[in-house]
Amino acid sequence: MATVASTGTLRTKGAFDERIRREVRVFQSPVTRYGAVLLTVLAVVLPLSTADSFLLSLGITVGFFSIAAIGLNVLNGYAGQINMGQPFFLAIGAYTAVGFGSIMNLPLPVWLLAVVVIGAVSGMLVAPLALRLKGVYQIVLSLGLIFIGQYIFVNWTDLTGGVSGRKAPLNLSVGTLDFAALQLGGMGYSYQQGLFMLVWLFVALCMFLVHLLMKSPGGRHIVALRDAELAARVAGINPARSMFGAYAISSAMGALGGAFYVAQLRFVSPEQFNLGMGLTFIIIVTVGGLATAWGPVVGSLVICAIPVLASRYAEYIPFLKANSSTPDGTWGIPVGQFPVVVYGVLLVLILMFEPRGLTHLIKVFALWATRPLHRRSAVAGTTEGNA
Amino acid sequence: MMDTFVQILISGIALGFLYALVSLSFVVLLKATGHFNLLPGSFVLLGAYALFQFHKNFGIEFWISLLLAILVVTALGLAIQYVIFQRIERTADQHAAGLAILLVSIGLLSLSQATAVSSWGAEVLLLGDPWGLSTLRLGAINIPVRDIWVIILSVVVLLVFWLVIQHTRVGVGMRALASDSQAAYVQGISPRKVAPVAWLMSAAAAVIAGVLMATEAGGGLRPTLDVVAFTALPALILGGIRSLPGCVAGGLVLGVLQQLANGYAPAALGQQFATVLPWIIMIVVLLVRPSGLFATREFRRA
Repeated sequence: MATVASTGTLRTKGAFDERIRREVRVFQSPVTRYGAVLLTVLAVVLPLSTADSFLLSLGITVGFFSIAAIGLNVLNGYAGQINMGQPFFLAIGAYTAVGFGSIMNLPLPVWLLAVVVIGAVSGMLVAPLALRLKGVYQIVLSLGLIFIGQYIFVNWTDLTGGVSGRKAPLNLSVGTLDFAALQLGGMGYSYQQGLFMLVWLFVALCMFLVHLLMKSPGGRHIVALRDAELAARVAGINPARSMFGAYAISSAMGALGGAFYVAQLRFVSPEQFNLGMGLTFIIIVTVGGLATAWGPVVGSLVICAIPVLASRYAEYIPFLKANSSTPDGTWGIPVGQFPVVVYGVLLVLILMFEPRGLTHLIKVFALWATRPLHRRSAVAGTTEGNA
Repeated sequence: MMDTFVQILISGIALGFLYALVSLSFVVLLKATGHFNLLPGSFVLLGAYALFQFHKNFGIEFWISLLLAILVVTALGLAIQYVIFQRIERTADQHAAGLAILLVSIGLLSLSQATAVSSWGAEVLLLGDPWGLSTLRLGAINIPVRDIWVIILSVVVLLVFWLVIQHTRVGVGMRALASDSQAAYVQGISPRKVAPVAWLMSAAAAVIAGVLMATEAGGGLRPTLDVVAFTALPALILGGIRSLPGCVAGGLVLGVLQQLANGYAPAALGQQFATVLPWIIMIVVLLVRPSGLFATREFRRA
């Protein structure tokens, strides 16, 4: 690598080219490059190869949680704001989807566009209020959003069916292609298989979008504002404009997640978008790793898989007992509470010992596991350099 | 007509004092640790269940159980402070530490909820409080005895807090640390001596509020008490977060308004209007006066 010349005059032209090029590269290493390609292929192949509804529904759940968490990660991770009100935006997306995709029965691209646009607009409406506030005030405001959202949706009975909720089958067709009953090469596929594909294609899209965005000037402005607001402003960054963008992206992806939530359950009730869900999202982005591309997906995978696996393999886990409302004298964690315990312990341990999250741990482990390979390539690299 | 109004007013004042106690717990903790966290939610929950354990399962006198519950929760809080919070403060920088401590408190909140459900079951329990559902008749007005005790206990707690903060060495130290920790260190005020008292105060306010919320007239002992505690957060904002009288005033205003809405709001405003009213008021206040209604002049939104 070229270095600053030592001839007395400071020549920096071209000195940082290599560093900058490495920094702006979309994939930092071959592992992530081929990993991303592999996962995109899996998103299509996996649902076609299995019809196990347990796996598929778990996959879809992880998918829509990932989409909303990728959005939240922009705000909580890259932008350093604190938003616990992501369920509010999920609810907005869910009911937009119900309105356009179920009641008006419009095709998929139309209601998806509506979901994204209305989600982004709602985020931009909240942003001016949230950006005036810092710390405690911002946290409490975002909690308030959840309660106000529930009030609005409980009382908007025409759209939401009130407290008891409503059935909401969504229209998943694009022209002749209907993801609800997919026909590929003469083979018919189930609703869940089609939805799985759709959701994970959007997960890939959102991940890629956020990843690219964070390498663009706009994304760098956001990170700069997080790390040193005063310095960033001195350098000519407009805080309001950058943060508005962050809010819009975050809420649009939250809304998208909410829309797929409805598509998965085909039922929606305002009670689902509660404080507990807000805490779950906070846990997902933190456990996965704040401000990392893979963090939200890893976090969703862990957090969504735990309850399902716990209830499936309850008898092999010590200290677990069946759900019952009455205390039966024995001390044990009810199956329904086990995931809550794991979330709590995970969150506390991660923050105490590895604030960079699971993604970082995985990276460290992967580096350790592939050590021999690296050594060889490093040796190859030096011989090449000498030649 | 007048009688119902007075009844609603009294229940509103009682509710307001509960809000004041919970938001006081948040404020004292914020001052003691320097970071906002949601631990008072778990204090409310665990305190009420600890009292249930001492009073119903061990058969200890109600008031002694209350004291024991406060001590247990304080010990728990101090353990969290020394084991978790201080570690995070050592390793992370200021901004990251604030976020990390908030997130840890969310984790601990889930853990305390799971503990409550695992140990005592998920259904509503009777606390066995001395007041039950009995009411006091004054002419045509029925006042629940529990509401009267809510008001009495809260006023006593608030008076004690005020005396401690204004007129004791520890209280002066606490205020000094909160306003300028560097200067306070230099003056020889040790956070190690102040912290236990602050945690005791926070725990006492939260546990008393929790127990009063868990009484029979308050709806019984249930694992969702910590979420009920969060409804006090608008009072915290309304009072402008740093001031003790602000908390009380904010709590009382919201409590009375909420109960009035419960009694008189027209059906056109929809279901759950009374529940959401404090949050709406809070947002309006944040729009108009971000520093709270009772904030001091030099206050900054920090």
